[in-house]
Amino acid sequence: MRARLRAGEPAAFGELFDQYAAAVYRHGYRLTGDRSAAEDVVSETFLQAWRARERIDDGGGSLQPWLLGIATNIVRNHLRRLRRESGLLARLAPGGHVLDFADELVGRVDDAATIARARAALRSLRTAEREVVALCVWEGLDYASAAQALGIPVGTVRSRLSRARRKLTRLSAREERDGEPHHSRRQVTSGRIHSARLAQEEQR
Amino acid sequence: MNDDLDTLARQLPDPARHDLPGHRHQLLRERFMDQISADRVGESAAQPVPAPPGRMVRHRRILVTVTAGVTAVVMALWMVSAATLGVGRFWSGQTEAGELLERIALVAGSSTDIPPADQIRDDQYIYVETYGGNGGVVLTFDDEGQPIGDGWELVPLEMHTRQIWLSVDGSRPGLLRDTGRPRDGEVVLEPHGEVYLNGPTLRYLTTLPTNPDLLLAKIYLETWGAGPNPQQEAFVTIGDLMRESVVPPRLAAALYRAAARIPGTEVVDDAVDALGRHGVAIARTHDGLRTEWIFDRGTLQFLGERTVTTETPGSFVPPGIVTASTAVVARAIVDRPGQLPG
Repeated sequence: MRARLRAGEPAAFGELFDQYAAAVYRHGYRLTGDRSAAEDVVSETFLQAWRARERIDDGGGSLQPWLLGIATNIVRNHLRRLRRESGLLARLAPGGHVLDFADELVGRVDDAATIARARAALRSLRTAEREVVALCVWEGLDYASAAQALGIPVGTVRSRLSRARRKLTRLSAREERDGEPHHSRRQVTSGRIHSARLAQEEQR
Repeated sequence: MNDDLDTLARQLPDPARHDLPGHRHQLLRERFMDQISADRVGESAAQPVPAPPGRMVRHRRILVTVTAGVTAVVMALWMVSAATLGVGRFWSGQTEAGELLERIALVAGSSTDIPPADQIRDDQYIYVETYGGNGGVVLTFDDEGQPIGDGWELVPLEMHTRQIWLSVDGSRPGLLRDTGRPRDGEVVLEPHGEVYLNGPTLRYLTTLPTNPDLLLAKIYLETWGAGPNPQQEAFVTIGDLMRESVVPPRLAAALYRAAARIPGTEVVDDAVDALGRHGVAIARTHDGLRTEWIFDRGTLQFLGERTVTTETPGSFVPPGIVTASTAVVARAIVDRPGQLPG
């Protein structure tokens, strides 16, 4: 399969699409909360995979982490574009784009408090944490595959998950105390990690 | 560990319960297969990659919306914050860094290394050769400040040589040779699309203001919203220009004088570039990382740039770790891509 992909065999890419389009779509949807954006993510991801086909190596293993990694990058750019287009105010507020899964969740969960809690919880996570949650918790990738997808060390995957868990635990503790979901805006605690990671990302 | 996963799964129900509907899957698949065959027809021997291509671009520019109404708001906001950003003459020349930058600007402004702009033809190419690599430090600690492992992991520098040829007016394909790419990849670069501060052509650079205050204002405005903060973003933007482009002398002088107006620049007495050349550096520190522009102590020529970790209270990372380093080996104007100067 990998050799055929690298050789640019269209049929192989057709198979790749059939095998992974659904996973890429789910991932795109989880990160954007928008069905049509998720479809765009599918199209863009496979096109980029096609263009990067020479970089497919002979190693074994699933191509899913690779594709989900491409998709994650595309979503990052997409969200950046959204922030830009939604104007100055959104740009000035960090994380200006707010994911809204209200429709989806209403369909499944009839408890309004649960919806509110899940939305507040999602909002309290930084993009990097949401990406790891989407890969490990929702898509069920193991840590090594998630690390491969995001191009980060396994230890970083662990620490992001652990950070996300602590945040949510604190959030629910506060809810019990205050009686209502608290929309945390403070995300500076991990600022240092973020910038060090940026230093690493410069190489891309 | 699995405890984290279980807790998260309980608190965060998966929002994606429905799959890509079958007919949408088919439609997207057909479109993809069409694109593939179109791509195959359009492909020449060499595969163009999108421009600005594989350059060591550190960060993405966030476009300032230029619809008329918004511009006024942006301008107004910018003026309000101009004072805190440090746009103003009083910064220049009053600090050690300001003095050194003024000396560097004087040298750069009268440089004759590159022919004057009116003697460079649109069909020529700029050539820049650099040697260097990027690595990094990844911090690994949790919210309570407990280190995971040593609290940090080193991503070592991967050194490589980069030679880039870019069309003077951006209308022709460029070329990149980079030993860091697979198979020493020689890549044809698509002609320039949009030009801007972080993706300039030489022609574009000659249109920029050479008044340092105006230039700095433009840099702040164009990079608004990008990077960790405006000052750092402006500093890094200027550094990017100095590293892998050919900057006309008057603009180079203006850029250094603009840098002198950015608060927080300092002098580092001894810095080493990727080729081991020692020099004096102009630096700015942000969040535990010091970005240094290294200059020859005698000639004040730009040698290269590097990023070094600094002593930071509460940080696990020791100071002095080089996370990125680039040395400029050659810059020239040549007639065609692939041609070496001299």
